[in-house]
Amino acid sequence: MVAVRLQGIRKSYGTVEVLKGIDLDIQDGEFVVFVGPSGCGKSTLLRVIAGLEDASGGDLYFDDQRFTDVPPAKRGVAMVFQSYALYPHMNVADNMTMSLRLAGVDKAKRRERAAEVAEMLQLSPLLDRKPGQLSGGQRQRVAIGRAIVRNPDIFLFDEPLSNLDAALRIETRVGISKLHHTLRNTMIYVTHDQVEAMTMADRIVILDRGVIAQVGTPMELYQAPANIFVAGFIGSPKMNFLPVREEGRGDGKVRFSTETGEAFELAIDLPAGEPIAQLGIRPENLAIGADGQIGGRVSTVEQLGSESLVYVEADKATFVCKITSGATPKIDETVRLVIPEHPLHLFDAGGEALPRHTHSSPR
Amino acid sequence: MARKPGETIWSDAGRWLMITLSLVFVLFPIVWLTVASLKTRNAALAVPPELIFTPDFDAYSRIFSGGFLGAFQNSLIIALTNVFLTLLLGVPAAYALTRMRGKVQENLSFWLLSIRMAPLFAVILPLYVLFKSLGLLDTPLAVSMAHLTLTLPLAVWMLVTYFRTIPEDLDQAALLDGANSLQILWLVIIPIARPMLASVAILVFIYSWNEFLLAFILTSRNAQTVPVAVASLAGTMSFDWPLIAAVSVVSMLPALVFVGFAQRHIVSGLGSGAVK
Repeated sequence: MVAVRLQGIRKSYGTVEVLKGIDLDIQDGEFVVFVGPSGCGKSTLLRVIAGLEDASGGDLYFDDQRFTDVPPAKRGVAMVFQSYALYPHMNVADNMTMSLRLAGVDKAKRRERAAEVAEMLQLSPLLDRKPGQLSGGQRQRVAIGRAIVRNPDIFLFDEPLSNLDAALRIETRVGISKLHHTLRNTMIYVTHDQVEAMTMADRIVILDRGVIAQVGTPMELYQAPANIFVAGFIGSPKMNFLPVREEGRGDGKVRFSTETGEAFELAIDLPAGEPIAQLGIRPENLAIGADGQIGGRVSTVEQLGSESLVYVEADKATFVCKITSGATPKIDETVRLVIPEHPLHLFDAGGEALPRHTHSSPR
Repeated sequence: MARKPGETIWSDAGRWLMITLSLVFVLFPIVWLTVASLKTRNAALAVPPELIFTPDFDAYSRIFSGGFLGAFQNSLIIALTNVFLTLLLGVPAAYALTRMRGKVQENLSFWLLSIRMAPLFAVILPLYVLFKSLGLLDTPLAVSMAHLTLTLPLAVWMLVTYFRTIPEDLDQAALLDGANSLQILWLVIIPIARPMLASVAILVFIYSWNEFLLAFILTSRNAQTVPVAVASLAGTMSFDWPLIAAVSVVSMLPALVFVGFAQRHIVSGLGSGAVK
């Protein structure tokens, strides 16, 4: 078990800068998820930690020891690849114990260790099969087994679930969480799926175009996103954004007007500073009611059983309301959207979240 | 052959016609050679050819008495040496070319192949001078190395194409497992590429076994290969047609045996299951 510290990690391919100075501390035994859209640099960052890519700048420390130039095999890391990367000509046992073979461990000991790990992952009857004879989920478990066999300080996962179907993905997700609970190793997990990030992580690192957009626990990111990117990335369905013009503030109230000329006032207590340019409302906080501030027309209704998603065209955009009780409006019905005073996310023109006074109480 | 939906009896007939034509085209010379090798010298040249005759194995017995065994031995040594050297040098070279990045690597594989664009005659004279000064003329090694200059680029080119299809994740998984580059090549890449290695070995063997021009120029007596020996039978005064045919037939056998042996390694689907 090892703590990881990244200091100003940079990576460029030619003139393209993929990582633009990453500073991050990962605690011993922590499960950290790197999440972000395609091309944000999350996989590259993982590969720099693994040693499969050399950083163009910055330093990497494992337990305060500099590991920047240590070859991959000597870093005490094991990686599960998105493609699994199993050796197709070797059986499951040999696949899992390749590292021991290269370390000169004799065949009987290798077989013993393979059996031990296979037991843990329910792979025992498959030890003599080749990867080609296994299902996707089984291959995935062999890839995880290969990582466990090495008894690494740090586990690295590079989008390990993206080749599995939905049901198996949830099952394996739970399996990996259990594994972390049993082994208590430091684990770093890369995904583009915010649900995976929210459900598995002790802490989430959100990356956006080569920089860290925010680091925090899943609930911190959900409740207090630092900027509009994080706000839009975490949460499903996505947060609704309403562009507004601030017409005046004072006395614990702020007056707004929208692009289409709606005007309203909200009781928001915030310190003097940048004007509010966008309001962010999560679908579960956006209500439909006669006293709503902005008007719109229902375009789609999705019934999900326990809840309904109502899509409302308003103010030149589509807003999503998650309704869990009461009557569901019909398509083409004219409705009014109720913007709550709390929880309501405020962003300035640059997309940064504006801090509210902490004493503002829930409605 | 099962007919696919929408196909008529005519598409079946067309397919069989094409297959028959190609078979006749490929097999006719072989059949003709075999028949000729079993005739007497006069019967072999008779027009119209006799279709029914008593086979005469005299030509085959003369292969053994006429000193052809040496030529067979030379051909075999040259071809096997060439296969060995081509794979020994070609596999690491191709692997390095596929896994190392940069302008140099891209251009290098092009220049390697460019030697195949030059006419053989452009290479023969320098090779002759080279081997003469090394004192290697008329040795199997000289012919092997001359063949190598042509088979190595071909092998590298084929292997590069194949190695590119092996996902680099496998290299990296092995790297994390603690393997160095040579171990990755030996333990991961070569076992996966076995079908391609077999194909390359077959092509190189057949090339070396049948090659005439280089072998003709670089050998005189001791290292003479089968094709050269066969050609020398076609004298100006006499033309021992059954013997030429018999040597040609026998000369096909080692190649057939080698191809049959190597082909067992071409198992399809070996590479599947590595990823996804």
